[in-house]
Amino acid sequence: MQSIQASFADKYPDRVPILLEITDKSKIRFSDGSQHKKYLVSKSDHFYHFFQILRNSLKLSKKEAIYLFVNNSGLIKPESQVGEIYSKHRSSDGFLRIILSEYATFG
Amino acid sequence: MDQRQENYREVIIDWIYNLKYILNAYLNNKNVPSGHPIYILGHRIDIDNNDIDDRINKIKQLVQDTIWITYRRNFPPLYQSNYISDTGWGCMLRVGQMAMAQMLKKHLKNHGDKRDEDYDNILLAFADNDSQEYKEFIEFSNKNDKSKVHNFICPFSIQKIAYLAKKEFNLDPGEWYKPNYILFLLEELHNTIPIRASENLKLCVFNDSCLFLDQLMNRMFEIKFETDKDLEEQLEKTQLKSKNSLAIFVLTRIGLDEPNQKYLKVLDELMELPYFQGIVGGTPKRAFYILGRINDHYIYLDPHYVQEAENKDQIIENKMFNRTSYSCKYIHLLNQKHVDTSMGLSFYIRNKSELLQFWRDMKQIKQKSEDFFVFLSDFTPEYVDYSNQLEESNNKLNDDDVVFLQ
Repeated sequence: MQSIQASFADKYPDRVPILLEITDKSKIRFSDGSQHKKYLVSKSDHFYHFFQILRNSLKLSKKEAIYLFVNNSGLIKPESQVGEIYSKHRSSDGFLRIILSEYATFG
Repeated sequence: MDQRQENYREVIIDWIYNLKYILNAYLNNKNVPSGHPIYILGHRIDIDNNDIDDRINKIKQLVQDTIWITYRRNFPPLYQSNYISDTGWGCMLRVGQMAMAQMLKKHLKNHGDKRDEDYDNILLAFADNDSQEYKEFIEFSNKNDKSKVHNFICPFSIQKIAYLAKKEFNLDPGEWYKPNYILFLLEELHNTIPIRASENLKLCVFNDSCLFLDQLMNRMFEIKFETDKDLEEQLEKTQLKSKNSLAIFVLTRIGLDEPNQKYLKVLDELMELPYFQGIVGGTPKRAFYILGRINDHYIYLDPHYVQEAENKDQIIENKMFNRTSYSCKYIHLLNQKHVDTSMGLSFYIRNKSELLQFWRDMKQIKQKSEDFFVFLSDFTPEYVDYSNQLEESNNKLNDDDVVFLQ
């Protein structure tokens, strides 16, 4: 089977596939209760656009924050370009895997 | 809810926490690394390598001089609950209080025109039994007309924080706090009912690991700055004047499950700045107020120790007899690789020239390292205002499909 990514790449050469996962430690979920979502994002976009989309679909208030990580430790800054991060950190199946997290709680 | 005493179960849990605390302190005290300067709350201390006692005593003195706030028991029941103690859940709240107390201390000490009693009043502001003041506060905060000045002695009491936490974040007593929650609550309390002489201390809490000069200047000078002007130049050359000082908190995450080694290096440098006033952070699940560092170890104050709640009269009385429950005699150390990745960094900026120097220092650290994890910008980018746009595209999202971003 040809990879999913290849078929995307043919159809939408200016976009890259992102697989977003919300960390288990966070209570944040998408409205359907899921922790994963796939996105096709324009290479020339900056991540702040992506942050906005996420904040909206997760219905976050201003006083909440979300953090996106690649490679388990690298923080994605809003001003980074999607294409740049993608070419640096894409995984072998063609997806850019991003983990979403918020602040931890302490007791 | 009427005042009650702790039951046996609660008393035993308190014992367990205190035993753990003392064991921890004992084990910790032994290994103060040698041969490195100490950076603590904006001071740098160089010490004689050969004299280990001298080294330990110097750190002890600084730690003891910092306000230590811990779990307390037998305070008046918190808003709409049966909680009379915060054992087991209030540590982040306590750490936030410590950071706020330190800011007030720094602020009131630095201003020549402040009176001694203002400084003494800091502890009262955090009294865990606020002598029913929270009832007045609830009434006050539900009133539309806030113009009538109310004098609150204990604006940061746990009763007021718990009430606001419910109102702002729907957080009940007993639930664990995130660092952003307690910092925003303290900001709101300080903005509405500051203690005397602290009105010109302006709190700036930055969420999302960012820092914007225009917002800092807006807070300091209380005017808007044009977006086509060079802000640094205005700070340096113009006649801008202000009596305000800034307490800056930058919330951030320096890794996912574990701290990113490269970000820890940047953090090391931030902790060396003369403006550094500690970190609202901790190890996973346990919040600590991190004061500074020696090499790769952090010095911190630990709130996980249960003491009896005091009201303002008891605090004053204790002071008269030279005893206090707000000072810690143990040095706690933690290896930086065990630090929790969620944290709030804090900086105190006294005046305009310090603000300029702080900004230049931050930019310099950023230039040196591509791993600088705080987003710095002279002007707040438009996209930081999350309130507008994108409603439409949001409605088109289909959760099962791949989402196209337009």
